Amino acid sequence: MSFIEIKDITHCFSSSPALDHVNLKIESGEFFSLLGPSGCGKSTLLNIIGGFLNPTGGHVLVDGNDITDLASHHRQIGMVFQSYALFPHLNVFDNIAYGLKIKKLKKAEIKERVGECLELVHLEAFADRMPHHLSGGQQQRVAIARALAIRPSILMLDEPLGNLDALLRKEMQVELRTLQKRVGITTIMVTHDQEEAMSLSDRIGILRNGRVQQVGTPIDIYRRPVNEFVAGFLGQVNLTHVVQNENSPNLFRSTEWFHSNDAPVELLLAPENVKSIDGGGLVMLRPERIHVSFCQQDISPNHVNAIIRSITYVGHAVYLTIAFDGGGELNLNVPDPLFIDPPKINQQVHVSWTPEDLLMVSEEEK
Amino acid sequence: MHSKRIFNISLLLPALFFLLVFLLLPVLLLIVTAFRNQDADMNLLPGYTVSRYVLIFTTPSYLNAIVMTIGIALLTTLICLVAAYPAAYLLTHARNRTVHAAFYVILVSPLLTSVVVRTFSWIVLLAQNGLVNQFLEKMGIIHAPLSLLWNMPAVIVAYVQVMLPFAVMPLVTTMGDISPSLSKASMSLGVGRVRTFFHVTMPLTIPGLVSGGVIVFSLTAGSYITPLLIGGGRQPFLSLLIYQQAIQLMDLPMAGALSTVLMILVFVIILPIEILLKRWEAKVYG
Repeated sequence: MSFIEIKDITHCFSSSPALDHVNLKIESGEFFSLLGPSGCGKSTLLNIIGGFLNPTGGHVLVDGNDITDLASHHRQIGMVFQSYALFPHLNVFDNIAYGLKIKKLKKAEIKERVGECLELVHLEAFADRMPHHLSGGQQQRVAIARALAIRPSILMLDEPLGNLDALLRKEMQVELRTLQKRVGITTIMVTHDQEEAMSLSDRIGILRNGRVQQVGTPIDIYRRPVNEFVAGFLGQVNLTHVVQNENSPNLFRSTEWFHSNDAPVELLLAPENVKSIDGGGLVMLRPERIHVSFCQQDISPNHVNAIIRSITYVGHAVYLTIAFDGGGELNLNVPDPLFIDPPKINQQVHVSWTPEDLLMVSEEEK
Repeated sequence: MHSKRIFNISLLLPALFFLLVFLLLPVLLLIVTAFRNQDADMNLLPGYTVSRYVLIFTTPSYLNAIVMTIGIALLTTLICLVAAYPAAYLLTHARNRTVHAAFYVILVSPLLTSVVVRTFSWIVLLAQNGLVNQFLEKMGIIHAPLSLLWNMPAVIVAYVQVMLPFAVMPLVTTMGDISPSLSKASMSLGVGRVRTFFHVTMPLTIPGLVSGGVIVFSLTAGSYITPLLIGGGRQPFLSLLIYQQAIQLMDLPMAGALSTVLMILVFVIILPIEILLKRWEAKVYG
């Protein structure tokens, strides 16, 4: 087991920076995900850690040793590719044995270690198959077994579940997580799928435009995103610009949401959720944290009347878009059993939330 | 569905017609003629004989020509394939389109040059008073001009020059189809660049290697202009013997018999290789 330090890594492709002073520390035995939209630099970082790319600046350290200039085949990093990259001319056994044969291990030892790896991924019966005879999920598992066979200090997964269908993906997520915990190997996964990252990782690093936006546990970054981008990337979010109330530091007035009398919607934030600069800022509210009811109530901070504008029924939940009487819209995500009668378009509703559900986030840098 | 099939077949007809009338039929006639009886004045007589084949397979000079033709064709193929790998690697890993296009033009330029021009450039280079000899003499490396032309090495060099594109192009295609993540995977498993080439890239380019090799081999075995012009017609090649028999001696049946031998030899060598390739492809790609 190894820990990895990424120190001030910068990389430029023809002058435009793909990675901009990236610093990360990945703990020993941790499952760490690099999450971000395509073009955020996560694959570049993976290639740098894997030794397929020399960074323009900065260092990669494994267990405190600088490996920045080490050739990729000396790095002891097991890689699993999105396309699996199984050698099509070798059967399952020879694919897994590939890295061992090069090391000139004895035949008996190779056989034993390949056997162990096949057992690990439950493919004992498939040793003689050629890769094209395997399903996507099986190929994926062979790729993992092959990477683990060389007993690497680090396992790197590049969009490992990207090519699998939805059902298999869920299954493999569970399997991958169990496997990683059992082997206890430090693992870095690169993905653009936030759900995959959240369900698998101990910690997630969110990248955008070559910069680390936030690093934290899945709960951390979902509940307390530092900025607009992270908030929006991890799930749906309602955002509004606000200005601070002169008399009360935790009370804000929305500049985009209005009641029928054109009075701005007032938002009361929990003190720990206030991060105001110059008396204003951006406030987020997750769609599933909004409480909805059909009876009229008094309007007070965090309680508003609105009208249903659109309804999307997805079985386990209903996605609603509601409009405030005086302007501004809000997305809601309501569990299905909450409605005995299905909601209707233009129906009056009353929405509310608690001060803890509102969080100030930094605005996206333009 | 039915009309679509008729349409597709009708598209094939012109090519099929040409193939049948101008290739298959003449070849069949050639094979038949090779068995025809003949009088001393080379007039065809009724009846058939195998005497020409008996002659070919009992005369040392013919046997020598057979061995030489196949041997030199195999050697040319080998040299072409070895030289084709670096070229194909460069073409597949070209930095951008412009570089790729430039490499490609350089590669196919021998094919775009007339055989006469190409051959006479060799003569300009290799003749007794040619560029190479003059250069070597000026440098004081040699004192009398070397005879570089009209010999086997010159023929082989000229062959390789013409045939190289045929070896490179199928290799480029197969090499381009190999996912870059395969060599990355290999390197991540502790295997260096060179061994990765031999363990991953090379096995996966077998289809391109075989098709390039087959084209080079069959074209070389049958070519007669290059040995005639560069080698001066002094080397014992079956193609040259066929040319002599047909054009100079007007002995068409003997030319037919020699042609049949050449065709069958090439076929016998190519067939098992193609069968092995099909088996390999079935195993690897299903």
